[in-house]
Amino acid sequence: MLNVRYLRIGLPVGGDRGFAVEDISFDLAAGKTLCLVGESGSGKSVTGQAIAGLQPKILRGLTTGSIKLDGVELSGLTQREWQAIRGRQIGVVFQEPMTALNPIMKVGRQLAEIYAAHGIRLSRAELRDRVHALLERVGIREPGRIANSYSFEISGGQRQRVVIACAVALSPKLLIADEPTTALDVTTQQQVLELIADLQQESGMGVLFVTHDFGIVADIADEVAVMQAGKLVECGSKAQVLKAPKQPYTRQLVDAVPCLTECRPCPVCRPAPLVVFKAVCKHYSVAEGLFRRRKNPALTDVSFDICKGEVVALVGESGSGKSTIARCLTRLTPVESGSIQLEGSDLLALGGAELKQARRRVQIVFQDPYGSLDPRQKVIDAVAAGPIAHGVDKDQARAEAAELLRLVGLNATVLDRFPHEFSGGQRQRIGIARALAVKPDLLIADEAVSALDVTVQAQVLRLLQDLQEKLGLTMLFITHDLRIAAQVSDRTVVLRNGRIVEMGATEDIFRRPQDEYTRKLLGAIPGMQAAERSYAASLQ
Amino acid sequence: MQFSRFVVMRLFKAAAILAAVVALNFLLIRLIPGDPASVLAGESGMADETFLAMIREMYGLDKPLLVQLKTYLLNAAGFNLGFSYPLQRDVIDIIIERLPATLALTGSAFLISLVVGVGLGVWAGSRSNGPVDRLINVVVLAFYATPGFWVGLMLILIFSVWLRWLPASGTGFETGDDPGALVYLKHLCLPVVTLALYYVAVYFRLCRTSVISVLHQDFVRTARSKGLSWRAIMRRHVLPNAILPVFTMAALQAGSLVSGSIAIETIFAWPGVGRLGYEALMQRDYNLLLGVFLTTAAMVVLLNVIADILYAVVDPRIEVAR
Repeated sequence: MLNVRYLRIGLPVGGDRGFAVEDISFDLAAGKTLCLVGESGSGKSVTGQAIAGLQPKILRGLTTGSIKLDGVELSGLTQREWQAIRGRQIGVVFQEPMTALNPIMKVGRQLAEIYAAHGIRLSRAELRDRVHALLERVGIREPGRIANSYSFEISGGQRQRVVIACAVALSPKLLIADEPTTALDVTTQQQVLELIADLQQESGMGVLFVTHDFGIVADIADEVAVMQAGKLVECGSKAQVLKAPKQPYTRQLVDAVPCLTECRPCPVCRPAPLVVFKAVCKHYSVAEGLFRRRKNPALTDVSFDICKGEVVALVGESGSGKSTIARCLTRLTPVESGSIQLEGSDLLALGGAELKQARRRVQIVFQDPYGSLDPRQKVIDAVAAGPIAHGVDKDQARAEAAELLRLVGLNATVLDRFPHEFSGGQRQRIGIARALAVKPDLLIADEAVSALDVTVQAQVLRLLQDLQEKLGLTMLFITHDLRIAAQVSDRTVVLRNGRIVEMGATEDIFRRPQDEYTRKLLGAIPGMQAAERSYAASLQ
Repeated sequence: MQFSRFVVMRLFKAAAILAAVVALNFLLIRLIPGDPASVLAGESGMADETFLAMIREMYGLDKPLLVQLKTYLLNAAGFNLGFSYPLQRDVIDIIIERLPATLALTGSAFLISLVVGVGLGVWAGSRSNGPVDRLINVVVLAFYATPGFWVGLMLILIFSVWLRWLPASGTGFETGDDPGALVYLKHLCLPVVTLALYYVAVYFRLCRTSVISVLHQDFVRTARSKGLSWRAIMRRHVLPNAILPVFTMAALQAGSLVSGSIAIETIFAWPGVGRLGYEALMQRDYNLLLGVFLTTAAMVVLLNVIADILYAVVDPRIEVAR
């Protein structure tokens, strides 16, 4: 159905390489799913965009090759001709459902305008019925209410369902899904993947699924195409590519996916606790009217401890209170009741110099490695700033910072550079060095590898594990990716809506989950079934 | 929260802000060196100490400042802004007399600059970095960078002195009899254009940037992926989003409609509130000056309330409901 031949997309002069996509060819049959896999910058997204004629304006003139949909040549169409193809024959689903919808237009109208755009004249009532039926088809239970809502009033999963509804409104032959679940929680991700599979089965459309996650590939793909630096390095059936990859790059990508089947063994002896949470409650207040405020519980009765030298993973969906715990622990936000002890002293009662000292002992690595570094500060200064603030001599602090940057794998030539001159993985290394500079007792990693590509993610995780062993660090590892939690932690705490639903040795949690919610989370992990099978096979 | 409650609360807040502004103005004016009593005494040509004391007592100027402030605020609440001794008339009457001229001038300039600025901004923003965009940018910025009085003088030179198409100053009403709407409009032309040329740049730049940034938003790509025409995307998705910051700016600027433009009103001998304030300052006509300040502040606050309410209607993300 879809035949791509020698697709080549040039980059404007001055880019880091000559082509975004270089001479790639592949086919997709109706009713099948082709996963286009690669790391960021591999050209997978722009390939998907080019097939729908949606690549950025400056790249349009630089695109050559042939794209045929059911025998009709698409390359070289005018924008006007594209208008008839898009929406009707090709539907597109994007990564970020929040921004993919117009914030000031009601959801129903955004769906309704598709019909008008393709010359389908309907009465007001017919249009409303169509929109409601469409919303029901993508699994939205209250179509009337959702159609009358704005995108910011509905949940992330619902938003992505609406975007999918836009894409499949006119039953296109081809659905291009560009990382449609990357911004979603693991359980929502599973639902969206199931929805796409259902719709595909109903209508027999071909799905081009762009992703970086081999877990998803294992679940949904018929065919897999692997891209690296704009080139197609491997293409074949799922079984072939996942089980017996021909290219070392593909092997590297597959291996880098954190695997649930390798849990860290839990240490038997438990040394004295470094941090103790006791019945901590915390709520955020939301303005309700001019003077009244409503209280939204963020943490309810949270009790757990972290022992010295231990790695504790905090897992849960977004909004479960994971990051709130990190913020309470760093005293970045006040706590209403309960106590937090740091090696016996009451963290919440500290003030002044004592608090400053406690802050030194608890350090955090943030999710966004770019946003958390000052863009106008050289990395050496960013790393040395902490120790200097705590009274270390300036020259000594800079010397130590250089040493730390070497420890996290950055050499001496980079010291005077600015954050934008580094890649995402390097920036996260800087973030880690910055956190370690003040010699903390506890390092909190708040989704520290979520924004990174899978191979870079594996490198940073390895670095954190090395450092943990070398320095005997205690770590609180916050993540929504249970595969990572399994790989790095000794113990795991599962959070839901601000409450702890289950905690224990990581191996126990993953092998013998007690709580229904934990089981649901585990079941939603992409690639889980494939991994289970191979684990069972390895036991035999 | 109900919408009506939101409006009431907003008005309540506005009244509080206004009272604070009036109080501040009142106190600031008293910082000007010189004694109001001696100004009054100067008017009547006598300045000995007993006469000053008498005046102070007569007008309550001997009372503590806060008591005077209270009296002023209470009177102002009943639309009594005091008496202008130099002009021998009630302040409120003078202001009401001058207000229409200012509103005609600034209101038309405001509307023209809004329409032209937004129109050009959308046009240039959707074709950014093209030759037309660059040309408009240069021309508009040139007018923005040139002082208004100079633009005004040049316009007078071209259209009044050389071409003799339009009158150079006044409103046409100076002689006392009504010359008709056409004459008035002719008199209005040059000052309005002068003032508008400046503000066009503000709206143009804002709207252009806004359109460019909205065009890069993901939902525009979604709209394209749905097969919408360029026109439909611009009209339904880009414009409604791009206009929001322009709206905020317009609300802020609308407040200055009443204060008028001292420079433009002076050059074109336009009898507006801006010039009135300037004259009051020069003559140390404290009551009149305070009255002008109060009117300006009241309009700024009121127009911002209206803008806030409209904004809540235009942008659903503004939280009225919670």
